[in-house]
Amino acid sequence: MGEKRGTVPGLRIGEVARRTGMTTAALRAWETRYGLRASARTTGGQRLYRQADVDRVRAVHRLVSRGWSVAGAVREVLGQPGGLGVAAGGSAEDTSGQEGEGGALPPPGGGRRPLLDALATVDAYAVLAGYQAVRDLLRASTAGQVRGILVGLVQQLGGEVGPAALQDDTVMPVDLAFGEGPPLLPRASATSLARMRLEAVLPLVVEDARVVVHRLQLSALASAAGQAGANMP
Amino acid sequence: MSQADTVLELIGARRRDEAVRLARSLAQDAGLAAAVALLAAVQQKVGRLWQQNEWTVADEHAATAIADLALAAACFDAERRPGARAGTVVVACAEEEWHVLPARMFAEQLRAAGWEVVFLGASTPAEHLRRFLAADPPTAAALSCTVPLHLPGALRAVAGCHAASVPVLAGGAAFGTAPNRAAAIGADAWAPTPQHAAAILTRWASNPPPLAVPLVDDGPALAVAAERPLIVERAMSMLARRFPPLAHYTSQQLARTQEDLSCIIQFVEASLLAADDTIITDFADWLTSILAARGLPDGIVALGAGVLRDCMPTGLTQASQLLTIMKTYSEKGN
Repeated sequence: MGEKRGTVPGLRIGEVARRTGMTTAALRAWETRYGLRASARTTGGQRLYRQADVDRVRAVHRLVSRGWSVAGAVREVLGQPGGLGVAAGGSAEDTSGQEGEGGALPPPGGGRRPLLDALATVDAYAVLAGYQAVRDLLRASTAGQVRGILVGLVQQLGGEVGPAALQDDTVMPVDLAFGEGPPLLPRASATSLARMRLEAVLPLVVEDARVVVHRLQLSALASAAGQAGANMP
Repeated sequence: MSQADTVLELIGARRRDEAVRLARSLAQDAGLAAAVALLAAVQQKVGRLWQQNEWTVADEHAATAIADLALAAACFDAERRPGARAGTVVVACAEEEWHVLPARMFAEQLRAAGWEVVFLGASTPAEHLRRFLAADPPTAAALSCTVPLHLPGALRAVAGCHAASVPVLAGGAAFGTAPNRAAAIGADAWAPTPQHAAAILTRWASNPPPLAVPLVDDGPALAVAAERPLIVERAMSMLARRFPPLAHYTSQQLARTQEDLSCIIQFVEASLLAADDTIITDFADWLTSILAARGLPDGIVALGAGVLRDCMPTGLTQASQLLTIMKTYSEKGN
């Protein structure tokens, strides 16, 4: 922190963040996820950004703020597709984006697009699994079927499903049982591909599942009230 | 007996249909906001019952599912204020934040107030949020965070929204009762209630705000996060020396202890990120009540905080200070 510009040929991450208007967290994430790294380190292991590094960060930031994906922007700025310095993992993004945009399936939930857009940042396999699950949800007629579809999706994406008693960092605290029976939580190791896929896909599919379950529960309630002749408002 | 207690009793007895009917008729008689306030009060009681070890996680999930259904039923009849159509708001939960009901309650009230609301559900990864917003920018993003543990996720979400040039309105229990935490992570405004939120959003719809920058450097919090596994590992062996009963713990109890220590460090990170010591003292109160209800001895929280502080690598001064605060605060409480 206290080093002078003259003795250290580069900027610390905090200074780069200030100059580019980014957070240091984003700078670190861009390094680990997309390989946009500082070209040097201090002897203590701190990142040192040279002017060229800062310019690259600025260029990527500019593209991202215009709507580019980070992976795409990094590729563009570094100008070497899949080459040195570009981490793998970003590459799936754009191809699956095409898949999402070009797909003939309508977005679920009546004109809602989040699933389409959120899924566009994961791989095609997860996209298709998510869509299939949503399609199945539309045909579900009991809460048990909804649960079965969600459990199937979790397993298809490489996760497991278990009771709430097992709490550790592999557990994702989202109940797939919707109160019909004991809680059923998805599990996947915190650093696994399965976890990444589940985090991207599951919240949105669960939202759709919730709507389906509520519709079933409410119509069951209404018909029960109708049969009893009760004055259900 | 308050209405919330009545609903809680119905939920506890799994008399789902009656609980749902009650919420629905309240929404019809007194408006959606009244029904939401009732369900929020019920959920707070549910949380407290779990905290006191009177309800299991399964009880809590079953109760939350009923509250959720009751909310859906209440919204069923809620009238949309005609002609308002002020703009579109995307409501999202911070990365890793799986408490979705508070955000849903907010989204439904905003919708009833005439806003076009897109609700993204639990834990949206920041990069997905950015992409979604960039594709079709709304008036604003409303970000919900319930547990301060997930403020780092909220910071990433704010950065994602700003990368898409969308202003962020922050709300939820994690942001406390003043705007400072929201400002620390770079949110453009903080709203304590849906009414405040609607007022801010209306202003933004005609006059978009310049995007804020985080007021606090996230470096210290990230430095602690990077060392967390090491700190917890060291603390477990030091704890074994300072707390002999640990030798008789089962592997599951040991895993829980390790998890608690890790959780304390995560709250330290959140306190650093938000530059707000009350995050760690509030957490100390909460953890003390949880552990006491599960039969752990008095002073265990102070002991844990002390051990963690003594295991803190040199250079992480602010974190050490926070752990000292937590230790002395917990000692005073006992």
